[in-house]
Amino acid sequence: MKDVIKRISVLVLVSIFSGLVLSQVYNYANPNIVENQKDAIEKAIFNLIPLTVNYEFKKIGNQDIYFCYKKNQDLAGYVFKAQGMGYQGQITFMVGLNKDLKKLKGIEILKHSETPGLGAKIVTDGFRKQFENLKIYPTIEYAKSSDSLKENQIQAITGATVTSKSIVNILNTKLKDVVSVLKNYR
Amino acid sequence: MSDESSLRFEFIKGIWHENPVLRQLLGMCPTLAVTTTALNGFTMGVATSFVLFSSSIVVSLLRKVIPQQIRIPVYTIIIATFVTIADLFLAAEFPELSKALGPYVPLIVVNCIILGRQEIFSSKNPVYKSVVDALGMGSGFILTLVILGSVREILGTGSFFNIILFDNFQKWVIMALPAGAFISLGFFVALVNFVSKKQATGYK
Repeated sequence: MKDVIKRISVLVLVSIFSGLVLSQVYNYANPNIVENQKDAIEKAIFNLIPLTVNYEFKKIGNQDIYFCYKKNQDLAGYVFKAQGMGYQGQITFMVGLNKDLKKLKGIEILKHSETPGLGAKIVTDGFRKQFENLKIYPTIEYAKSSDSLKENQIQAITGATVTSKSIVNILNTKLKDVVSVLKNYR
Repeated sequence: MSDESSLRFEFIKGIWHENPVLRQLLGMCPTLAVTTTALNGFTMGVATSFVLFSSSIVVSLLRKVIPQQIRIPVYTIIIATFVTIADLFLAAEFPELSKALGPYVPLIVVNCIILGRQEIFSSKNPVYKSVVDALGMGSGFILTLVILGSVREILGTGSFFNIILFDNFQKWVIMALPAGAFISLGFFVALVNFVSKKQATGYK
Protein backbone atom coordinates (compact mmCIF):
# COMPACT_ATOMS: atom_id res chain seq x y z
CA MET A 1 0.00 0.00 0.00
CA LYS A 2 2.76 2.38 0.95
CA ASP A 3 4.49 1.64 -2.36
CA VAL A 4 1.35 2.37 -4.34
CA ILE A 5 0.90 5.72 -2.62
CA LYS A 6 4.53 6.60 -3.31
CA ARG A 7 4.21 5.72 -6.99
CA ILE A 8 1.02 7.72 -7.37
CA SER A 9 2.42 10.75 -5.59
CA VAL A 10 5.64 10.76 -7.63
CA LEU A 11 3.67 10.59 -10.91
CA VAL A 12 1.27 13.32 -9.77
CA LEU A 13 4.10 15.58 -8.60
CA VAL A 14 6.11 15.15 -11.79
CA SER A 15 3.02 15.87 -13.90
CA ILE A 16 2.07 18.97 -11.91
CA PHE A 17 5.58 20.31 -12.12
CA SER A 18 5.77 19.66 -15.84
CA GLY A 19 2.43 21.41 -16.31
CA LEU A 20 3.66 24.44 -14.37
CA VAL A 21 6.84 24.70 -16.41
CA LEU A 22 4.97 24.32 -19.70
CA SER A 23 2.40 26.98 -18.83
CA GLN A 24 5.24 29.43 -18.17
CA VAL A 25 6.96 28.61 -21.47
CA TYR A 26 3.65 28.85 -23.30
CA ASN A 27 2.97 32.29 -21.82
CA TYR A 28 6.29 33.49 -23.17
CA ALA A 29 6.08 31.76 -26.57
CA ASN A 30 2.47 32.18 -27.58
CA PRO A 31 2.43 35.96 -28.22
CA ASN A 32 5.48 35.50 -30.48
CA ILE A 33 3.89 32.59 -32.34
CA VAL A 34 0.67 34.54 -32.93
CA GLU A 35 2.74 37.54 -34.02
CA ASN A 36 4.76 35.39 -36.45
CA GLN A 37 1.60 34.02 -38.04
CA LYS A 38 0.12 37.50 -38.34
CA ASP A 39 3.35 38.79 -39.87
CA ALA A 40 3.39 36.01 -42.45
CA ILE A 41 -0.21 36.77 -43.50
CA GLU A 42 0.42 40.52 -43.61
CA LYS A 43 3.58 40.07 -45.68
CA ALA A 44 1.65 37.87 -48.11
CA ILE A 45 -1.13 40.45 -48.49
CA PHE A 46 1.26 43.30 -49.29
CA ASN A 47 3.22 41.10 -51.71
CA LEU A 48 0.12 39.92 -53.53
CA ILE A 49 -1.49 43.34 -53.89
CA PRO A 50 1.32 45.89 -53.70
CA LEU A 51 -1.10 48.85 -53.94
CA THR A 52 -2.63 47.89 -50.60
CA VAL A 53 -2.39 50.57 -47.94
CA ASN A 54 -4.73 49.04 -45.44
CA TYR A 55 -6.79 45.89 -45.29
CA GLU A 56 -9.87 44.71 -43.49
CA PHE A 57 -10.71 41.20 -42.39
CA LYS A 58 -14.28 40.10 -43.08
CA LYS A 59 -16.04 36.83 -42.48
CA ILE A 60 -18.74 36.39 -45.12
CA GLY A 61 -20.73 33.21 -44.89
CA ASN A 62 -18.12 30.65 -43.96
CA GLN A 63 -15.30 32.32 -45.92
CA ASP A 64 -12.55 34.42 -44.35
CA ILE A 65 -11.57 37.19 -46.76
CA TYR A 66 -9.18 40.13 -46.48
CA PHE A 67 -10.44 43.21 -48.32
CA CYS A 68 -7.51 45.30 -49.52
CA TYR A 69 -7.81 49.05 -50.06
CA LYS A 70 -5.68 51.53 -52.01
CA LYS A 71 -4.56 54.91 -50.75
CA ASN A 72 -7.82 56.59 -51.81
CA GLN A 73 -9.76 53.79 -50.07
CA ASP A 74 -10.79 52.20 -53.39
CA LEU A 75 -10.93 48.44 -53.32
CA ALA A 76 -7.69 46.96 -54.70
CA GLY A 77 -8.58 43.29 -54.47
CA TYR A 78 -9.24 40.37 -52.19
CA VAL A 79 -6.88 38.00 -50.41
CA PHE A 80 -7.84 34.72 -48.81
CA LYS A 81 -6.22 31.61 -47.45
CA ALA A 82 -6.47 28.27 -49.25
CA GLN A 83 -5.44 24.95 -47.81
CA GLY A 84 -5.40 21.34 -48.98
CA MET A 85 -3.49 18.14 -49.40
CA GLY A 86 -0.31 18.21 -51.48
CA TYR A 87 2.03 15.33 -52.28
CA GLN A 88 3.41 14.80 -48.79
CA GLY A 89 1.27 16.98 -46.56
CA GLN A 90 -0.88 20.04 -46.22
CA ILE A 91 -0.14 23.05 -48.43
CA THR A 92 -1.35 26.40 -47.10
CA PHE A 93 -1.16 29.48 -49.28
CA MET A 94 -2.61 32.96 -49.67
CA VAL A 95 -4.39 33.85 -52.88
CA GLY A 96 -4.82 37.34 -54.31
CA LEU A 97 -7.95 37.91 -56.37
CA ASN A 98 -8.63 40.82 -58.67
CA LYS A 99 -11.58 42.99 -57.66
CA ASP A 100 -13.38 42.06 -60.91
CA LEU A 101 -13.31 38.42 -59.68
CA LYS A 102 -12.00 37.25 -63.04
CA LYS A 103 -8.25 37.10 -62.64
CA LEU A 104 -5.76 36.17 -59.94
CA LYS A 105 -3.23 38.56 -58.46
CA GLY A 106 -0.95 35.70 -57.50
CA ILE A 107 -0.26 33.20 -54.72
CA GLU A 108 2.07 33.15 -51.71
CA ILE A 109 2.93 29.85 -50.08
CA LEU A 110 2.70 29.97 -46.28
CA LYS A 111 3.35 26.37 -45.36
CA HIS A 112 4.15 23.16 -47.21
CA SER A 113 6.08 19.93 -46.80
CA GLU A 114 6.72 19.03 -50.44
CA THR A 115 9.86 17.27 -51.67
CA PRO A 116 12.93 19.55 -51.57
CA GLY A 117 14.26 20.21 -55.06
CA LEU A 118 10.99 19.15 -56.70
CA GLY A 119 7.61 20.03 -55.20
CA ALA A 120 9.26 22.58 -52.92
CA LYS A 121 9.81 24.69 -56.06
CA ILE A 122 6.25 25.99 -55.57
CA VAL A 123 7.79 28.71 -53.41
CA THR A 124 10.04 29.95 -56.23
CA ASP A 125 9.12 33.06 -58.21
CA GLY A 126 9.26 31.08 -61.45
CA PHE A 127 6.31 28.97 -60.42
CA ARG A 128 4.33 31.57 -58.49
CA LYS A 129 4.63 34.30 -61.15
CA GLN A 130 2.53 32.11 -63.44
CA PHE A 131 -0.50 32.84 -61.27
CA GLU A 132 -0.29 36.58 -61.82
CA ASN A 133 -3.12 37.70 -64.09
CA LEU A 134 -4.22 34.09 -64.55
CA LYS A 135 -7.79 33.77 -65.75
CA ILE A 136 -9.95 31.76 -63.36
CA TYR A 137 -12.70 30.92 -65.86
CA PRO A 138 -13.88 28.29 -66.59
CA THR A 139 -11.35 26.70 -64.23
CA ILE A 140 -7.60 26.95 -63.74
CA GLU A 141 -5.73 24.14 -65.47
CA TYR A 142 -2.18 22.85 -65.57
CA ALA A 143 -0.21 21.82 -68.62
CA LYS A 144 2.86 19.62 -68.78
CA SER A 145 4.71 21.51 -71.50
CA SER A 146 5.28 25.22 -71.84
CA ASP A 147 4.19 25.59 -75.46
CA SER A 148 0.77 27.07 -76.19
CA LEU A 149 -0.19 27.81 -72.61
CA LYS A 150 -3.70 29.21 -72.51
CA GLU A 151 -4.74 32.18 -70.40
CA ASN A 152 -6.11 29.93 -67.68
CA GLN A 153 -3.20 27.47 -67.68
CA ILE A 154 0.00 27.17 -65.68
CA GLN A 155 2.92 24.91 -66.43
CA ALA A 156 3.38 22.07 -63.96
CA ILE A 157 6.76 21.68 -62.25
CA THR A 158 8.80 18.96 -63.96
CA GLY A 159 8.92 15.93 -61.68
CA ALA A 160 6.28 17.35 -59.36
CA THR A 161 3.06 17.06 -61.32
CA VAL A 162 1.15 15.86 -58.24
CA THR A 163 2.12 18.99 -56.30
CA SER A 164 1.22 21.30 -59.20
CA LYS A 165 -2.08 19.48 -59.71
CA SER A 166 -2.88 19.74 -55.97
CA ILE A 167 -2.34 23.50 -55.98
CA VAL A 168 -4.59 23.90 -59.02
CA ASN A 169 -7.30 21.70 -57.45
CA ILE A 170 -7.14 23.47 -54.09
CA LEU A 171 -7.34 26.82 -55.89
CA ASN A 172 -10.32 25.85 -58.05
CA THR A 173 -12.32 24.48 -55.12
CA LYS A 174 -11.63 27.49 -52.91
CA LEU A 175 -12.17 30.02 -55.71
CA LYS A 176 -15.60 28.61 -56.45
CA ASP A 177 -16.70 29.19 -52.84
CA VAL A 178 -15.06 32.58 -52.46
CA VAL A 179 -16.28 33.98 -55.78
CA SER A 180 -19.87 32.90 -55.19
CA VAL A 181 -19.82 34.42 -51.70
CA LEU A 182 -18.32 37.69 -52.97
CA LYS A 183 -20.78 37.93 -55.85
CA ASN A 184 -23.72 37.72 -53.46
CA TYR A 185 -22.07 40.13 -51.09
CA ARG A 186 -21.90 43.00 -53.56
CA MET B 1 40.83 4.41 -15.24
CA SER B 2 41.19 7.89 -13.82
CA ASP B 3 38.08 10.01 -13.44
CA GLU B 4 39.05 12.42 -16.19
CA SER B 5 39.84 9.78 -18.77
CA SER B 6 36.62 7.95 -17.94
CA LEU B 7 34.72 11.19 -18.56
CA ARG B 8 36.52 11.57 -21.86
CA PHE B 9 35.53 8.02 -22.72
CA GLU B 10 31.86 8.74 -21.89
CA PHE B 11 31.97 11.66 -24.32
CA ILE B 12 33.90 10.03 -27.19
CA LYS B 13 31.80 6.85 -27.11
CA GLY B 14 28.72 8.82 -28.18
CA ILE B 15 30.53 10.09 -31.26
CA TRP B 16 32.25 6.87 -32.31
CA HIS B 17 32.07 3.49 -30.49
CA GLU B 18 28.42 3.87 -29.55
CA ASN B 19 27.29 6.49 -32.05
CA PRO B 20 23.49 6.46 -31.58
CA VAL B 21 22.67 6.35 -35.29
CA LEU B 22 25.58 4.53 -36.90
CA ARG B 23 26.41 1.94 -34.22
CA GLN B 24 23.24 1.56 -32.12
CA LEU B 25 20.92 2.18 -35.11
CA LEU B 26 18.55 4.21 -32.93
CA GLY B 27 16.60 7.32 -33.89
CA MET B 28 16.26 6.24 -37.52
CA CYS B 29 13.00 8.08 -38.19
CA PRO B 30 14.31 11.66 -37.83
CA THR B 31 17.62 10.61 -39.39
CA LEU B 32 15.93 9.47 -42.57
CA ALA B 33 13.17 12.07 -42.66
CA VAL B 34 14.77 15.46 -42.02
CA THR B 35 18.23 15.09 -43.56
CA THR B 36 17.10 16.51 -46.90
CA THR B 37 19.34 19.51 -46.24
CA ALA B 38 22.31 20.07 -43.94
CA LEU B 39 20.53 22.89 -42.09
CA ASN B 40 17.47 20.76 -41.35
CA GLY B 41 19.72 17.98 -40.07
CA PHE B 42 21.63 20.42 -37.87
CA THR B 43 18.48 21.98 -36.37
CA MET B 44 16.96 18.57 -35.70
CA GLY B 45 20.22 17.43 -34.10
CA VAL B 46 20.40 20.49 -31.85
CA ALA B 47 16.73 20.22 -30.81
CA THR B 48 17.13 16.52 -30.00
CA SER B 49 20.37 17.14 -28.11
CA PHE B 50 18.71 19.88 -26.06
CA VAL B 51 15.96 17.46 -25.04
CA LEU B 52 18.47 14.69 -24.34
CA PHE B 53 20.70 16.98 -22.28
CA SER B 54 17.90 18.48 -20.17
CA SER B 55 16.08 15.20 -19.54
CA SER B 56 19.34 13.49 -18.62
CA ILE B 57 19.97 16.08 -15.90
CA VAL B 58 16.44 15.80 -14.49
CA VAL B 59 16.32 12.00 -14.64
CA SER B 60 19.74 11.73 -13.06
CA LEU B 61 18.72 14.13 -10.26
CA LEU B 62 15.53 12.20 -9.59
CA ARG B 63 17.04 8.74 -10.04
CA LYS B 64 16.74 7.86 -6.32
CA VAL B 65 13.21 9.24 -5.98
CA ILE B 66 11.55 7.59 -8.98
CA PRO B 67 10.14 4.15 -8.06
CA GLN B 68 11.39 1.38 -10.35
CA GLN B 69 7.89 0.33 -11.45
CA ILE B 70 6.83 3.71 -12.85
CA ARG B 71 10.14 4.90 -14.26
CA ILE B 72 9.10 4.74 -17.92
CA PRO B 73 5.99 6.96 -17.57
CA VAL B 74 8.00 9.44 -15.47
CA TYR B 75 10.78 9.57 -18.10
CA THR B 76 8.16 10.05 -20.79
CA ILE B 77 6.58 13.00 -18.96
CA ILE B 78 9.99 14.61 -18.44
CA ILE B 79 11.01 14.09 -22.08
CA ALA B 80 7.64 15.30 -23.40
CA THR B 81 7.95 18.46 -21.31
CA PHE B 82 11.30 19.34 -22.84
CA VAL B 83 10.13 18.46 -26.35
CA THR B 84 7.18 20.82 -25.97
CA ILE B 85 9.52 23.54 -24.72
CA ALA B 86 11.80 23.03 -27.75
CA ASP B 87 8.82 23.03 -30.12
CA LEU B 88 7.33 26.24 -28.68
CA PHE B 89 10.73 27.92 -28.63
CA LEU B 90 11.42 27.10 -32.29
CA ALA B 91 7.95 28.28 -33.35
CA ALA B 92 8.38 31.52 -31.42
CA GLU B 93 11.96 32.40 -32.34
CA PHE B 94 12.72 30.58 -35.60
CA PRO B 95 9.41 30.26 -37.49
CA GLU B 96 11.20 29.37 -40.75
CA LEU B 97 13.07 26.43 -39.23
CA SER B 98 10.04 25.31 -37.32
CA LYS B 99 8.14 25.30 -40.61
CA ALA B 100 10.82 23.24 -42.31
CA LEU B 101 10.95 20.61 -39.59
CA GLY B 102 7.17 20.41 -39.34
CA PRO B 103 5.88 17.47 -37.32
CA TYR B 104 9.34 16.04 -36.63
CA VAL B 105 9.98 18.27 -33.63
CA PRO B 106 7.02 16.92 -31.59
CA LEU B 107 8.14 13.45 -32.70
CA ILE B 108 11.43 13.84 -30.77
CA VAL B 109 9.41 12.57 -27.82
CA VAL B 110 9.46 9.04 -29.28
CA ASN B 111 13.13 9.18 -30.29
CA CYS B 112 14.60 5.98 -28.82
CA ILE B 113 17.98 7.63 -28.31
CA ILE B 114 16.57 9.81 -25.55
CA LEU B 115 14.53 7.18 -23.70
CA GLY B 116 17.40 4.73 -24.24
CA ARG B 117 19.99 6.99 -22.60
CA GLN B 118 17.70 7.64 -19.60
CA GLU B 119 17.14 3.91 -19.09
CA ILE B 120 20.73 2.79 -19.73
CA PHE B 121 22.73 5.67 -18.31
CA SER B 122 21.15 8.64 -16.51
CA SER B 123 19.02 6.50 -14.19
CA LYS B 124 22.17 4.78 -12.88
CA ASN B 125 24.81 7.52 -12.93
CA PRO B 126 25.46 10.82 -11.15
CA VAL B 127 24.55 14.10 -12.81
CA TYR B 128 28.03 15.08 -14.04
CA LYS B 129 28.49 11.75 -15.81
CA SER B 130 25.01 11.87 -17.33
CA VAL B 131 25.69 15.37 -18.66
CA VAL B 132 28.88 14.20 -20.38
CA ASP B 133 27.11 11.15 -21.76
CA ALA B 134 24.25 13.28 -23.11
CA LEU B 135 26.69 15.77 -24.66
CA GLY B 136 28.57 12.93 -26.35
CA MET B 137 25.46 11.22 -27.68
CA GLY B 138 24.05 14.59 -28.77
CA SER B 139 27.24 15.52 -30.63
CA GLY B 140 27.28 12.12 -32.31
CA PHE B 141 23.69 12.61 -33.42
CA ILE B 142 24.25 16.17 -34.69
CA LEU B 143 27.42 15.15 -36.53
CA THR B 144 25.75 12.20 -38.24
CA LEU B 145 22.71 14.24 -39.26
CA VAL B 146 24.82 17.10 -40.61
CA ILE B 147 27.07 14.77 -42.65
CA LEU B 148 24.09 12.84 -44.01
CA GLY B 149 22.22 16.07 -44.71
CA SER B 150 25.24 17.58 -46.48
CA VAL B 151 25.71 14.56 -48.74
CA ARG B 152 22.03 14.51 -49.65
CA GLU B 153 21.83 18.28 -50.12
CA ILE B 154 24.96 18.49 -52.29
CA LEU B 155 23.96 15.60 -54.53
CA GLY B 156 20.20 16.17 -54.46
CA THR B 157 19.97 19.93 -54.85
CA GLY B 158 23.52 21.04 -55.65
CA SER B 159 23.78 23.32 -52.63
CA PHE B 160 25.33 23.28 -49.16
CA PHE B 161 23.65 25.00 -46.19
CA ASN B 162 21.38 26.67 -48.78
CA ILE B 163 24.38 28.12 -50.67
CA ILE B 164 24.26 27.09 -54.32
CA LEU B 165 27.50 25.33 -55.25
CA PHE B 166 27.18 24.53 -58.95
CA ASP B 167 25.40 26.48 -61.65
CA ASN B 168 24.70 23.83 -64.23
CA PHE B 169 24.22 20.87 -62.00
CA GLN B 170 22.27 17.77 -62.96
CA LYS B 171 20.50 17.09 -59.66
CA TRP B 172 20.35 13.54 -58.36
CA VAL B 173 16.69 13.90 -57.56
CA ILE B 174 16.60 10.54 -55.79
CA MET B 175 18.95 11.87 -53.08
CA ALA B 176 16.33 14.40 -52.00
CA LEU B 177 13.67 11.68 -51.81
CA PRO B 178 13.27 9.05 -49.06
CA ALA B 179 15.07 6.45 -51.18
CA GLY B 180 18.18 8.64 -51.16
CA ALA B 181 18.05 8.71 -47.36
CA PHE B 182 18.08 4.92 -47.16
CA ILE B 183 20.86 4.60 -49.76
CA SER B 184 23.17 7.16 -48.18
CA LEU B 185 22.53 5.94 -44.64
CA GLY B 186 23.28 2.38 -45.77
CA PHE B 187 26.60 3.40 -47.31
CA PHE B 188 27.43 5.46 -44.25
CA VAL B 189 26.77 2.60 -41.80
CA ALA B 190 28.78 0.23 -44.02
CA LEU B 191 31.69 2.67 -44.09
CA VAL B 192 31.70 3.05 -40.31
CA ASN B 193 31.52 -0.72 -39.84
CA PHE B 194 34.40 -1.17 -42.26
CA VAL B 195 36.57 1.40 -40.51
CA SER B 196 35.87 0.08 -37.02
CA LYS B 197 36.62 -3.49 -38.15
CA LYS B 198 39.94 -2.30 -39.56
CA GLN B 199 40.61 -0.57 -36.23
CA ALA B 200 39.76 -3.69 -34.25
CA THR B 201 42.10 -5.90 -36.29
CA GLY B 202 44.77 -3.23 -36.09
CA TYR B 203 44.82 -3.47 -32.29
CA LYS B 204 45.58 -7.22 -32.28
